[in-house]
Amino acid sequence: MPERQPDLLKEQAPGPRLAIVAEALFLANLMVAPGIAFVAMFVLWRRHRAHPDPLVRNHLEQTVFASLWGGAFLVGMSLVIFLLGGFESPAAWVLAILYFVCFHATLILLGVIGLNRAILAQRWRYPLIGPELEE
Amino acid sequence: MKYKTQAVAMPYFIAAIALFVGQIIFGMIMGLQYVVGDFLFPEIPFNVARMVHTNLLIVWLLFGFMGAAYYLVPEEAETELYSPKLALALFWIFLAAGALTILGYLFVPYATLAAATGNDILATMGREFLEQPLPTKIGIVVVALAFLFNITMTMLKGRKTVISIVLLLGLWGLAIFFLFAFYNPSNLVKDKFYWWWVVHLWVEGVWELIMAALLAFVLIKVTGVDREVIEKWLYVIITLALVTGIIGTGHHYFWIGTPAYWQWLGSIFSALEPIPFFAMTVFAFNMVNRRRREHPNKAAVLWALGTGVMAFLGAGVWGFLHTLAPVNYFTHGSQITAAHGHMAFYGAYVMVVITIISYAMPIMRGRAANSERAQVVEMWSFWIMTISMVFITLFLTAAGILQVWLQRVADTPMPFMMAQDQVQLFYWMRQWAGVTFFIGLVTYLVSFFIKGETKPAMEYKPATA
Ligand code: HEM
Ligand code: HEM
Ligand SMILES: [Fe+2]
Repeated sequence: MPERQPDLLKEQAPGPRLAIVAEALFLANLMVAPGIAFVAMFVLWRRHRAHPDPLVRNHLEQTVFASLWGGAFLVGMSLVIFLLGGFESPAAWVLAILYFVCFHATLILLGVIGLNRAILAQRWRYPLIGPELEE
Repeated sequence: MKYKTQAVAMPYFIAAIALFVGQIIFGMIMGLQYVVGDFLFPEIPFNVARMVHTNLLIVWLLFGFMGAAYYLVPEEAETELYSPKLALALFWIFLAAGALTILGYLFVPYATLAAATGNDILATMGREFLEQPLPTKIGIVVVALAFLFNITMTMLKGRKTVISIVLLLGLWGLAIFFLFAFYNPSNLVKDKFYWWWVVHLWVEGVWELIMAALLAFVLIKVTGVDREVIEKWLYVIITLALVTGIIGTGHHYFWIGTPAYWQWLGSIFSALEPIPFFAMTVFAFNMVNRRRREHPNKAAVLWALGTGVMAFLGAGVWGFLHTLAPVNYFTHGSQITAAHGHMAFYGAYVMVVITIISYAMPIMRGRAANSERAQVVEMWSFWIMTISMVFITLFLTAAGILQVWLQRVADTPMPFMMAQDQVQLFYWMRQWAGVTFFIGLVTYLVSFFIKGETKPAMEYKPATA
């Protein structure tokens, strides 16, 4: 934890740049640039995972693993629904679309919290899909 | 309250809430007519109930916006309202015009109403959301201009903050785009083309500015975050809203006879429209996470955060769901549209109006915040209404997907009414969710009458680190 306590009422973004970028890429992967943003995030993590700042390590690790698990559940469950129901089943379409939209939106909202934690120099763990915190 | 003329907001807020109740009652009537076809026939036909439901919604949101402006602008400008008398007179005029119009819908056949109110002089009636008779439409313009004059003069004689400038831009835009309600070319394509200049450019354009300004105002008050921090966000949000939303109008020009390039323009720009709503979600969480001390009005903080989340879900997520031309080709005008319309209107504009009411009303009643008990009840109403609306949306979405499948995708497509029969179950579930919503609304009303220990109103001073 950094020694200095930022003044959150005045400073725009006291958090470490790399942590903010990681969380922004997590969101970009879900919205504007799926895949590409993940690759960028992965490269960033490979380069900086031994970064001296624990906040940077925290957010890089969380975003990479939460993306992997989240993506697996998002696509995996949808496929399972279609495999069980078949592409010709209207019930499968109803379930798959509702599942996909709701789960995807949940990931985005968690990403919003993660991004804000990074901006405000705080730690963050994605519930269930994020690895346990250090210490 | 810092300035005593801010109190003119009170009648506006009360009228808004009363009309909100009316809106939901007509929603439940229609929801029941969906499953029990001849319910209240011929007293209240579906098309009349629909008109009342949607027009009450728009009118009470306008009451909410005006009340919000009367409360916010003097405080931001640090001066009394230019003319509180004018504000009060406009309140009664607007209320009388609104009530007369609704009574007209209910008790006079629409064609007779049109003939009696000069629709043959200038034909503006008969279009969804813009059904108002000519005198009402003119009344709306007059009230809007006098209102804008009043708050613009207030701002000009006082401090000009980014928040009040953004709010005024939004409100001026609202009035200007309403003028297209008077333009009704006989060519059906052109008619629809300009109709969206009111409907779309309101909710996905200028109203977003109003929403951002109101959110920013309440967030400054309840968190104590520096103005400079919040203003940077406002610039980003309104730029994003205008850049995406204006050309995004094209997502309504896919199949109405407009040139084919709109399928590209509309798809691309409207696909980016969720971004400003997303920015507001981040903004709301960001500000609330910064605060050092709990503001006594926890309910207002909850409504502000809820607005950030629900507006993104309703407008952003459910909007994107059907905004790309190849998808909209199948979903156009289905229950998916209704699902989106409900969650977006509720999440963005209903909730932002309740946010400002939740913040300002206790102060106008002489206390910093309502008693603990009253706030608990208010927060219950938040959860009941919000969760019910989520379910209304989910059920309508399910109904919509099935409808699209049966009626438009299947090898042997079903006729409209046969497909409707197949999704009755979801309409019943929507109806129960609607009744629950109403219970939430009653809970909200009750919260205003719960007494308890309160602190006197005073400026909230954030603790220093
Ligand atoms: C708070 C903001 C919004 C509100 C209140 C809102 C409300 C509505 C309503 C009421 C309709 C139905 C209009 C009709 O009667 O035909 C509609 C249609 C539509 N909206 Fe929104 N909307 C919002 C934002 C968005 C956004 C951001 C998008 C895109 C990402 C979007 C995409 C659409 C589309 C594509 C349609 C046409 C559906 C069809 O073809 O039937 N909306 N919206
Ligand atoms: C704050 C809450 C509500 C809001 C903001 C709202 C808003 C709207 C809007 C914008 C429309 C027009 C939709 C379109 O053009 O696609 C509409 C139509 C409708 N609403 Fe609501 N509504 C609310 C609550 C309810 C409730 C509680 C019910 C019923 C249980 C309900 C039932 C209906 C029905 C049946 C329609 C007509 C749909 C059609 O034409 O097929 N609404 N509402
Ligand atoms: Fe639109």
